Parts: sequence; C-alpha cells; structure tokens
Amino acid sequence: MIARTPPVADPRGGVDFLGPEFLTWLWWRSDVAPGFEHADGSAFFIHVDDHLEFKGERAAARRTVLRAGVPSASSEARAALRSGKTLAAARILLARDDEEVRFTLKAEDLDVASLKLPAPEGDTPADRERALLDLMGQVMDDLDLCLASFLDVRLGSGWDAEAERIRAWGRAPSQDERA
Amino acid sequence: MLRLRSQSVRRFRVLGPLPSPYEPAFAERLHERRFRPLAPHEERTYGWVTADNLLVTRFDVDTVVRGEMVAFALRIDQRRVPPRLLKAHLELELEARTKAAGDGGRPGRVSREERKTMREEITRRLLLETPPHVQAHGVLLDPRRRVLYVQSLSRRVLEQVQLLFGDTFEVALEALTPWRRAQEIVAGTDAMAALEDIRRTELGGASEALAAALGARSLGRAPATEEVSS
Repeated sequence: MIARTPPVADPRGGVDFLGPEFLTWLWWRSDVAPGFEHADGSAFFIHVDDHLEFKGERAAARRTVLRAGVPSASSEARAALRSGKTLAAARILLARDDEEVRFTLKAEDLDVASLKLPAPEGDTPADRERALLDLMGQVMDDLDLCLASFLDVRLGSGWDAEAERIRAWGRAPSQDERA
Repeated sequence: MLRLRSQSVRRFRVLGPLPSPYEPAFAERLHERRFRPLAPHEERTYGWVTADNLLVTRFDVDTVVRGEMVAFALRIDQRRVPPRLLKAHLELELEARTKAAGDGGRPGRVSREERKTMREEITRRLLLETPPHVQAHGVLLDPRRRVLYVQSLSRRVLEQVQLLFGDTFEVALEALTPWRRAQEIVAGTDAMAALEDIRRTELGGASEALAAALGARSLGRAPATEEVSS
C-alpha cells in the first residue's frame, strides 16, 4: 500500500513577508556589516550583487527588476524600498577567503537559483564531485547562518530599533545619489 | 542531470523514516518507481533514473551514494502533438471527407462528434511519430540531515518530486521555506512564541510621492530597470 504524501496547507505558514523581510535585512546588513561568523570561527562575507527584484505588497502590484550597473547602490533600488516594495529576489555574492560563490536568492521560498560554484580541485572526477557537494552544503550552512542571525534580532526585543536603522538607511542617499 | 557547478535548488525536509542508502531496500524502492519508457500511445511518463545517465534505472550503493549524499534523478518524458500540425491534418481530412461525400451525390457536413473522433484518431496516429521531450532533474538526499535538494524550481517538477518521493519511501516532504526553516531554528526557545505572533514590518519609510521624486532625479550610472506586471 502506497502512502500518499499529505499536502501541506501553506508551506509559507501564512507569513509570506518573512522571506522578503529577511532578504531586505540581508541587503542592509551587507552594506553596513557584511561579515558573518560560524561558531567554529569560519567567516564569510555577503555582497548584494547585480540583480534586485522588488515586489509590491498587493497581488496586482508591479514588480521592479534592476539589473547591471550595481543596482544595490542605485537610487532606483532605494526608491523602490521607500515606496513600500519588498525585496523578492537578489543576486548574492558570498566570499570566503579567496573563494567566491554567486547565487540568486528568491526570498519567498528561500530558493537558490543560478548557483555558480568555483571549479573544484581534485585528482579524480569523484574527488571533484565530492568537493562540489561539500561546497554546496557549505553555501546552505552559510545561508542558514544568515537566516538565524536575522531571526535572532527579528524575534528579539531589538527588532524595532533594527527596523528603524533599516528605514533610516533606506531614506539616506544611495551611493549613486551621493556621487 | 546532476549539474553541480551551476544549479538551481529547492530544499525539502524529509518527514518520516528512510531506509539507509547502504541497505538493499533503498535501491529496491527506487527500482520500484523507476522510469519506464512511454508506451506507443502514452503522452507522459516519469520515474527515477541514475544521476549519471538518464537511460540507466539499475540502482545500487555504487550508483547512488556520493560521500555523505545520495544522488539520483527524476526523468520526465512527454510528447505532445504540435497544435498547428494537428489542425493541418484535421483540415485535410475534413476536406477529403467532404469531397468523398460530395462525389457520392450527397455533400455532407461533419458533425461535432465525428470531428472529435477524427481529432482523437489523428492525435493517436501523430503521437507515434512524435519524439518525446525528455527532461531529467537531479535529486540529492542528505540522509544525515534529512534534507532533499531538488535541482529545479519548476512548480510542476517540484510537485512531481514531492509526490514520487513520497510514494517511493512512504514519507512526506516539506519545503524549507523561510517560515518552516525559522520554526526549526527557533524550536524549543523563547523565540518560538514571537515567531507564532509575528507581524509584518514596514521597512520602507517614505511616501510613494517622495519615492517617485527620488527616483526621478536619479544621478550617475543607472541600472537597467524593468517594470513587470505580476
């Protein structure tokens, strides 16, 4: 007898905003304090790269997609944030030592799109495959650490102050506007 | 198949017991739900294949275990008669039938029912000549962490994997969305109550008019902007 997978009523738990808030926080954090450190002391840095996708809160609202030309530093990106749009997807650069990994994080479901891993080292195809699998696991661990760091402040007493810092950052002139 | 240097991935939590990948039961379960080629008149079929070759449906420890991970793939074959080709064949057949009826002295009209039957017959005939569109999507299982990585973000493929993996191992898969992952991260802590009571925070901070004004006086090198109706 085959057991059917029970359908999950709402995999987002009715809190669609949690992912976009996390990504918006990560964008801000990458600008003001881009470093993260695991419990074992290994550190990595986050940079929001060349693709930003904003979405309005209402279902019928339009999406704004910014590509190329360092959109995270642009006045358009800040304007989208100030107008109440939330960050739905962003291209992330994750740097550890001299290794760089890029991927697009889709906020609502925490999907990792177009993940590009560096050429692996190893003598045999099996060694190289193992290295890539390890690296992929590392990226997921890094992503989890970013989410855990966000939750630490989001679900704690310091969230109101953190949210105000993000709003102030959003109101401040972007790099392009200061140039 | 299993592309690792460039991939798109959704993570799922496996809910329920799984056989060890080192036990024959694991490979046997995959084999029971293996890919079977399309029958002559079938339009769609799917099942498990190995991660290395979409023609291979023989599973054992050597073909599935990759270090701490387990790898295999979902193959989906689908064939579809191109609508324009179907329409062209149908028109020719209707024309021939009308002409034949006319030659017999009574020009006939083709009823809706006859037309439907003709369409089905032509579709069946054309399906035999239509090669299938073949897709294969890598699936990676981390048994220690009970995480399944599916190398596709297509809604249909993800639903298919959830259904087939559930049927194969009699377990459930739950997407690790921000909310689900957050529940796991804060489980057993005081933050759980805060998560259950969470409310949206406005992280913008200015009126739309101000935003529009700021956007209008954009300076310097502007990024490519695209407005898309959702």
